[in-house]
Amino acid sequence: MPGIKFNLLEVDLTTGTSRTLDVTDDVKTYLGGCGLGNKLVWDLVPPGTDPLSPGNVLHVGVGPITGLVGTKVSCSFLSPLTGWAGEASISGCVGDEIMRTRYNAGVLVRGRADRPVYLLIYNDRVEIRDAADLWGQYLLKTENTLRQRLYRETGQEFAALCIGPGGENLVRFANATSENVHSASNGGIGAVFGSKNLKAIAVKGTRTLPYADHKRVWELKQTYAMHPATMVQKRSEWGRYGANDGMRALLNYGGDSFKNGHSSWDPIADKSDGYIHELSYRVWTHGCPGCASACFQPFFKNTSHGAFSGELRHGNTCGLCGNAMMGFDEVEEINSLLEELGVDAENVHGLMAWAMDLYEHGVITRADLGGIDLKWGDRDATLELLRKIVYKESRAPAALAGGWRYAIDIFGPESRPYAWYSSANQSIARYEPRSKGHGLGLAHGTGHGGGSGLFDAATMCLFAAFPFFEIWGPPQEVARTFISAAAGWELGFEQINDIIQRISLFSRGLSMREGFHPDKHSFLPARAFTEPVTSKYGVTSVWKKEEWEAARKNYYTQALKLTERGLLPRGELERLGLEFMIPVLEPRQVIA
Amino acid sequence: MTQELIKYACPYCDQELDDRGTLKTHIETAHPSSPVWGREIYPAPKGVAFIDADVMRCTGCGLCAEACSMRHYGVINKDFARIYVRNFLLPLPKAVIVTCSQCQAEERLCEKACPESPPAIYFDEKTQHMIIDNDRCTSCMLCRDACATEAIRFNPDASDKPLVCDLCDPENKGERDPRCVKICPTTALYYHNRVERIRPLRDSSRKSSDEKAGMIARRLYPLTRESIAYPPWHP
Repeated sequence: MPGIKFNLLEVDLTTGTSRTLDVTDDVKTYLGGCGLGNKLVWDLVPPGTDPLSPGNVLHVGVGPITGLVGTKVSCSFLSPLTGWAGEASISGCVGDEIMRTRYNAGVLVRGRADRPVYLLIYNDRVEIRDAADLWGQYLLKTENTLRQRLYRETGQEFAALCIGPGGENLVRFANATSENVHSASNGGIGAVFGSKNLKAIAVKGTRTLPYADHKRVWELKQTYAMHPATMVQKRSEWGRYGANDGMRALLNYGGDSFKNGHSSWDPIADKSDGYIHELSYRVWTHGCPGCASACFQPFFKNTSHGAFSGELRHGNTCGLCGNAMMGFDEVEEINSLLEELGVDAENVHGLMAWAMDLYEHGVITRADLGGIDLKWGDRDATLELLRKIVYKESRAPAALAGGWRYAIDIFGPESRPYAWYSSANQSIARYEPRSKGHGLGLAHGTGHGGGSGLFDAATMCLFAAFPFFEIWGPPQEVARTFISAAAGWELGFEQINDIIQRISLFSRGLSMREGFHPDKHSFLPARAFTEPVTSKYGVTSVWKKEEWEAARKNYYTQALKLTERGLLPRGELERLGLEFMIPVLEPRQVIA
Repeated sequence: MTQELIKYACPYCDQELDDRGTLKTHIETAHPSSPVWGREIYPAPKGVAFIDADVMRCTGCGLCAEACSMRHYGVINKDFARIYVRNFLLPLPKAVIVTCSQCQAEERLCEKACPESPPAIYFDEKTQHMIIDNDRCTSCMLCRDACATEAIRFNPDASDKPLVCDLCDPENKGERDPRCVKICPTTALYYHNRVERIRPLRDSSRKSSDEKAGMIARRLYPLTRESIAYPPWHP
């Protein structure tokens, strides 16, 4: 299949040089985003590399259809949080600007700068610039300063992906944000930035988008923008409630965890959902380039003790709302600050809820917390704890800054029964594994954190995609249709399925290369099997261990196409052109 | 000023119908897979009209600019467009639309600033939209500097002459049909007839996007662009 070319910008912060590489063949095999990203990590990062060393790479990835089904950027790197494959995705203008520079395979950052820097990409112009005056600043100040400076210099509006103190201090779950409400949060991507002394990436592209057939792309966009399915989503779902859509149902039917996972309902849940947010706090609706649904509902709250703004989504609120027993009122104040400091909300919320539980049961003391009286639902105590975690002050917060596994080691075995976290070293806040929808718990128990889906490789935004499913069919059809118009490749349904399978196995294989093994690492906290939880309507559930093991076996073989034990099938690796992985992975005993 | 006969133009084809009801029936029968639900059907104005932007509805998708560039150049490039969106951080992200107001004669700063005689940028009374005479324009860009809304753009990759909104009638045939209005998913863009009491509104919206962003930012007092108003400790 002919079609357009895919260019990757490679920047080496150690030598201060950059070059453009043609990666079209890799994009045809793995698509872009995390597909290409994982391949780059496999090729360029030796096994066992410390994710915080200069040997790690950071791929800020786009794909053939970034901007067409929402605008998503999928970043790949070796994760400081798990040590395995890492992926973090972010929406907003960054993806649009990268596509318009014609680096339609993204930006690859290698090495480490010898002083704080930021990366400037303006079409062909690539510069590594001094960031001494930005280092240490909170996120809003960083992004505003950069964007205003670059506007004065070039007359152009740059998109900026920045880290805050969290990333600078190498907190293992630090994030990178853009436009105050978008963030790449998973896997500790902020710490990778920080370890490279990279404060921000500022991008601007003014080129015509690199499509094979503009007319056809435009027809597809028109169909989407004016379709009733899109209007429904805009007017009554995302466009009103944003990603708090569906929160009420989850809360009422035991879909989220409460009080550090000790229950699946508490009356505090009545204080927070999408409707309350819409009436009391939302100021307007904002969206990403090209998306007609526009799912960002920023809030503003003015009080006698301060004024706060930001955006609340189910993912970044449930940990505090449920697990730490607070409502939107408190969460807005804490999240506003959290977005300024630059750490993953979901993970830090769960960790803080765990700290509250440990404090209540005397496993950690007030002295460990540096003097904080960490009571459940106490906003000021939580804010203080958050600050100490980001700056790694005092014994307990500094331990929490290393993530779950590290903190359990520091606090000792008595802390483990209280820990409520997943196999990917991530808090369990969303999607309670014990409630009726057990399918949600499977991801918690078998995930390794690496990017492995069609959405993060194409790239497509899941939230934007629902009307696309109604108009064109399943995700494979949507991807095929848009890839054909944008990249000029005619891919069959089965070819797309093969690509999906290839990306999924590759990602898991990369994690396995770095030590992930299902026998050792696939788990749910013991409480999921021993501590029943009751929903609002009195439905009690717990996951019997045998049922979990059976469901997991099924999930491995049916959904992930692995063996019953969760290992990689040799035949599949060979069929999908991944036989080069076999000699590397065989000694790890992960191939069957 | 006489009220000209207003026809109801179908947004999907060239037909003109007599009233709103007939238009709706026409759309349902002739374009059964095209949406009517959720989009306001209003008549395409026959008289002088302009694109009125409801900035608070805009979500920054940029489809308006892409529609414009497709119409004029056949490619998707927002910087080739005569309508565009600027993204501000207030500190919350907010998109502000920049459009040409198709100003009345007294306010046409671009026309007044043009050093050519007669002006190379002018409002064509027959076709009823702004147009630039590319044969006489020297690209001095005084029109762009004069425009109060910054609606005139210059992009050498698109054209060596300035770009101004011609209501999608670049050959000046009298066939206005603004594509941006049709595609806006939030109906933030309206295409109004000037005689319908709209004139005062257009005058008050003739401001730069910076000024509009400043007005929106007042909703977020006391926040500045650079931080939330908490906590007590700063780096």
